[in-house]
Amino acid sequence: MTRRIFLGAAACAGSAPARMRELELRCALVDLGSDCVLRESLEGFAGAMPGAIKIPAEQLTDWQECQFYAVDRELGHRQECLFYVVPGAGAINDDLGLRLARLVDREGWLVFESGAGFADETAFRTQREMLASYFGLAIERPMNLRESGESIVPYVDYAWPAAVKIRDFSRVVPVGLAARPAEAPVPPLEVIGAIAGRRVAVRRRVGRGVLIFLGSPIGPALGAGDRDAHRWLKSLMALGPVDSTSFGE
Amino acid sequence: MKKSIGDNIIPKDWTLERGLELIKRSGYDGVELWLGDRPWFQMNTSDTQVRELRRKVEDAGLAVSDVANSLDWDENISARDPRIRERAMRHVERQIESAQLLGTDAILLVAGLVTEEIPYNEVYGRSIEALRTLAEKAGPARVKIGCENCNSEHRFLISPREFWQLLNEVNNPWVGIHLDVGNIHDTGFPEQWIEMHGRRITRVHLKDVLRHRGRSGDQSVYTNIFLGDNNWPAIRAALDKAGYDGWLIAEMEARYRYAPDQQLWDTATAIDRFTAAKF
Repeated sequence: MTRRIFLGAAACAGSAPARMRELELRCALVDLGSDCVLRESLEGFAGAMPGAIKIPAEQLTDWQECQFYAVDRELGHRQECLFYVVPGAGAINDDLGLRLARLVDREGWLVFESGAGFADETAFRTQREMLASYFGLAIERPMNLRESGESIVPYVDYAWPAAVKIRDFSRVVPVGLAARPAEAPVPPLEVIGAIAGRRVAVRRRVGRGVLIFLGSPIGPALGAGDRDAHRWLKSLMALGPVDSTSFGE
Repeated sequence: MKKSIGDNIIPKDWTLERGLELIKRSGYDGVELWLGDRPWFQMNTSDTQVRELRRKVEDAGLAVSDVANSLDWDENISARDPRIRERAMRHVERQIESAQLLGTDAILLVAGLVTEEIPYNEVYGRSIEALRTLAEKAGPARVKIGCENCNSEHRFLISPREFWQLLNEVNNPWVGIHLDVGNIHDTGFPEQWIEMHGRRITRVHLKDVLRHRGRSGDQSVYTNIFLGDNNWPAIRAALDKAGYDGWLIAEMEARYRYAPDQQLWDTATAIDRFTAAKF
């Protein structure tokens, strides 16, 4: 058990509601500014995670403190964030990609919600390059499922961390399974959500943390009060620090 | 999910017993009884006769899925004339009483009827008042009142949010929505209604609809399941999402000119396929 997991477990040792409150305070909502192409998604997450610290991307540090004080507010025993959410992502520069990768490696959870379906081609390309470089993920060009003309069931079926159905947000970013950085093998990519036979949500171990990629935004569903979307987020936060059990290994 | 069909599908010259036998044989689990539609179930049908009706249904190997009524179109709870309103309240109360006698826990009503004469806002207020009063009877009887979305037919509560708002204002757990997935026509998408109303759905009516055509003369826009424009895979998924596991009740308008019993067989097969999500 690492020091961070020990501290997390110790701090979480109270009652279940108290533990949940703590976990809610250990979230960071990363505001990409003009590169957040779905502001309503950011607002949806902000409404669903009132304890999260909302931080502009450029101020994100390698040791990101959260709203939770482990011992005493006056003494200033602030804790590190456990969950990082990047809603409605458009363009992502290399520097931010590196910082996100470092944070994930500190046993964090990174929920990366792609808004590439609502961004221009350049933004999509930078996002694709960043995800490939730092997370070994190959995303495909955004697509509008309805334009295919086929009648689709308008829900993304999530299998993890809760089995829920969440309405798709028109344009999805499918994920390829063939992502392989040249230099080293990477942990397997696990599909956690699909729609119309396309993989649009995956998770992958990244160092000591976990990346969750959402190719269909769920922030707007959170904002609209979708119970399944809230259940999905709460189930994720309830997992606490990343360890083998929380990852279902 | 269990499947049911209305007793109003039974050919007019058939007896109830013959009709129930066909319903059972063609694969249904239950029957929806329509107060005021067929001679065996009218306002003057006594309690004893209603019990006898239940015995016949059960002897046929069926259950009563719910009690609907065909009287709301002439006597609605939103009528301006207090005497008509009183009659409307009475027949809904009779539905509640009958539901108890028949061993079911849901009734269907048309909650409000907007006409050229009676405007929307009047209908809205009266409907809420009437539903609150009826809920006081439904709760102790443990019978759920399902207000059917008749959309363009009653020109009222056209959108799911309007319906949601009405139910919020009634604010009683015994009042919900009897959702008809065929009634939404061009004004929306049934899967969105299901998603929005979730646990408030008391029963589901199934039929398909031909969108973009509208009603003209005696030409119906309704058709058999899978023949129209409803997105059935989406409806099936939405029911899953909403956790609906109750009765699916076929409300078929299209009658077969020849071999009228074929409608029941075809519809039962379609519902089985819908339930199994094999598209």
